[in-house]
Amino acid sequence: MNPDRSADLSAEEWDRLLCLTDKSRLTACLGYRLEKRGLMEGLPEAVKTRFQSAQIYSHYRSRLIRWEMNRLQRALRETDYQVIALKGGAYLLLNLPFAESRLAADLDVLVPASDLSMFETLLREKGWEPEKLSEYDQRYYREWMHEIPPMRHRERKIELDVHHALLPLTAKLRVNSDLLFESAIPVEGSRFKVLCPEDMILHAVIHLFYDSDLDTRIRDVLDLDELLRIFYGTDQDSWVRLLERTKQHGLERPLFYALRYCRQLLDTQIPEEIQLDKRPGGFTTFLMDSLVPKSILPDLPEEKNRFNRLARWLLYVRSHYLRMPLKLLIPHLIYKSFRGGNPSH
Amino acid sequence: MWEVWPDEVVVFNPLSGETHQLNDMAAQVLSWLESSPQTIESLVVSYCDQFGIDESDKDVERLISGLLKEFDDLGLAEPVE
Amino acid sequence: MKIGEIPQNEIGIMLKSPRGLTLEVGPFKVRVKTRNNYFPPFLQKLYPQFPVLECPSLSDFHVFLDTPVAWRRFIRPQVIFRENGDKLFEPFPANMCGPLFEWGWNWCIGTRAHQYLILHSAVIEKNGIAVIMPAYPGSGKSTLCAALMLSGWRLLSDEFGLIRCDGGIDPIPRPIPLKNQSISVIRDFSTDAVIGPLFPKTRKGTVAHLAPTERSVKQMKKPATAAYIIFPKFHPKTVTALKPVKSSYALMKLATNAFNYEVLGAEGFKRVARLIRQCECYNFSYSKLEEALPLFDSLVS
Repeated sequence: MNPDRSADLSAEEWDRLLCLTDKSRLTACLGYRLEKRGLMEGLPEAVKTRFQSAQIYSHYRSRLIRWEMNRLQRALRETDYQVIALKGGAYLLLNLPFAESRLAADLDVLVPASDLSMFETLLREKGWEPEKLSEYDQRYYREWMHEIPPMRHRERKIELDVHHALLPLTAKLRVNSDLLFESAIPVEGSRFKVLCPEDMILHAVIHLFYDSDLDTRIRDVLDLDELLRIFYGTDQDSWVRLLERTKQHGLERPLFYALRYCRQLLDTQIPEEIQLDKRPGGFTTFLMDSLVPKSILPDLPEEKNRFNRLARWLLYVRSHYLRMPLKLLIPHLIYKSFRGGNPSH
Repeated sequence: MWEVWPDEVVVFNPLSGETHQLNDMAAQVLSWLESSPQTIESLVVSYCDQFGIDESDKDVERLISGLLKEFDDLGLAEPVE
Repeated sequence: MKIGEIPQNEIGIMLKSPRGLTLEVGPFKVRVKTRNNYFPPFLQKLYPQFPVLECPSLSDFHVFLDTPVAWRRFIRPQVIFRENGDKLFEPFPANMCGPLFEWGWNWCIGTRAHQYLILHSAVIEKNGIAVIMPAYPGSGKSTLCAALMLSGWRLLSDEFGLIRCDGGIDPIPRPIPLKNQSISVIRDFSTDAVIGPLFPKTRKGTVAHLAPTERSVKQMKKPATAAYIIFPKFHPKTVTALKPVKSSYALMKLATNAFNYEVLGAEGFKRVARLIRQCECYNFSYSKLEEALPLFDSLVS
């Protein structure tokens, strides 16, 4: 998917490409990338219209997220909770150029674990309500994952996810939240803080390669590519900082995968000299190499591929294995296979 | 964003995406706030001046307070330090 | 080549082929695929004037009228609506493929075509002047719209006011759905009325579709500028009358009427406000078509 070829695509190729991007909610993102490279002008009108329409919808989602942050900020007046905006909310707060084209879905925030329960009470007082979940899903969140279920304000549509840690307590890797708060950066004109660049990137890395099943998550790889470009580019020192922070958090393995697939799929410019000490073994790498590209890129509806489905299922199991101990995992998978679908995690 | 007719006003709040029809008083107060931050007192004075009302009339202050609270609820205005 | 110029069995073959059949309707290209045998006659009856495009082309919508599960092809056959692979809505009986297509496509347009401010309105035009009629339950909009179209007005759309960024309206002259008594009213109104098959027992009662006139389809690429916004209200015992409404009232009403006003945000507000400023806005009550039509004609003469 080399952007410079965009001028040569036939109508049929555009048709297939836009179907794919629509399906994976990437049309606005692709439009943004083409625009950034000055390639939008030369495209057929019908194509430009599709991008325009997708951008409009994406701006709408961004507005909803910004407004949710506005309302949350208002609810937090006269309190001194430390709140870090994560992912889409953070990118919008920082006005990162790619943020508006991301089709942001929810607002994620991080609060200290000790504040979590009072924070939830405050939210409820101010009109947020927990999502209606089955009893099973409630237990999934509260007892197993030690989180509160997603909340939604009764007058609005956006889901608010309040975290106290970037990874579930049951996960095999841990990220020390105290370190995150220590290095968090205030945002001018806002009550919220954001993670420092290294932590923000590592969060994106673990969100993709640890915390998700990778199913058509090419969008998250694109985010990562943008973040790396914006914060590091080719500045050697910045990359060194990233490596040091990665070591500090013990996240070498997910970062290894992240850099590997960013390079393979998106040709992200990563200095050659960047090497990680702790890498997964050759066989594991081989396995991931065969599963990830199949899973992470979407299929056209009429080209559903059994191997891709298998790859996605294996990675789905992997993501849950990384998040839950085995004794919880097996019954959970069985339950979910009868119920169908998975909770928003 | 404003649309103004002889005796009707509609505003759009780009932050919330909501559209509001405003009565005369609300429109006047909001437009003053748009040009610069105001205290309740200064708003009361301006309003009484504009419409020739006695400044000691407690209703004006009550109404303006109510308006400000509504503006805050709707995200059209907010209290500043 | 137009749909009406292609033999029906060939239409069936095209619809069954992997490439499907691509229709151009107004600003949109829709690619349709189906094995459903009720669909080709529906298409031919109601869309005969519309051009079929050479495949491959860039389509805005990819509709597959599919069977939910294999055995549903034989036992109480059903049809589902898929767009770009996603199943939308619950299954319909297979013989209701036509209405399912119409409603499904409506939903797709209303939720995707954000280059427009999409009003839930009928739009008709005569003598270069367009009238927007926002839809509300009990308005009788479709019947009124159908009668106007059959009386020399051009149909831009019965369902969608596609408002461009320059304020013009793009036509999308699709079949007009008529319900219950309206069907016989329009059938009796004009011998030129081409009405498709009847579908009894839908959620809205009996439904049938009126094909757009040739004049309307011929001008489907010609935008129009609105000068009137008329909120119709049918009541059997009322006096036919136009009553002006306040601009702010019309603005709020039109804003809530649009499908994607919320999505467009500030741009939606701008487009609605511009329409209100450029149009005269009225509430319109009527009980008889014979009284309503001359009144509309007087607006544009």
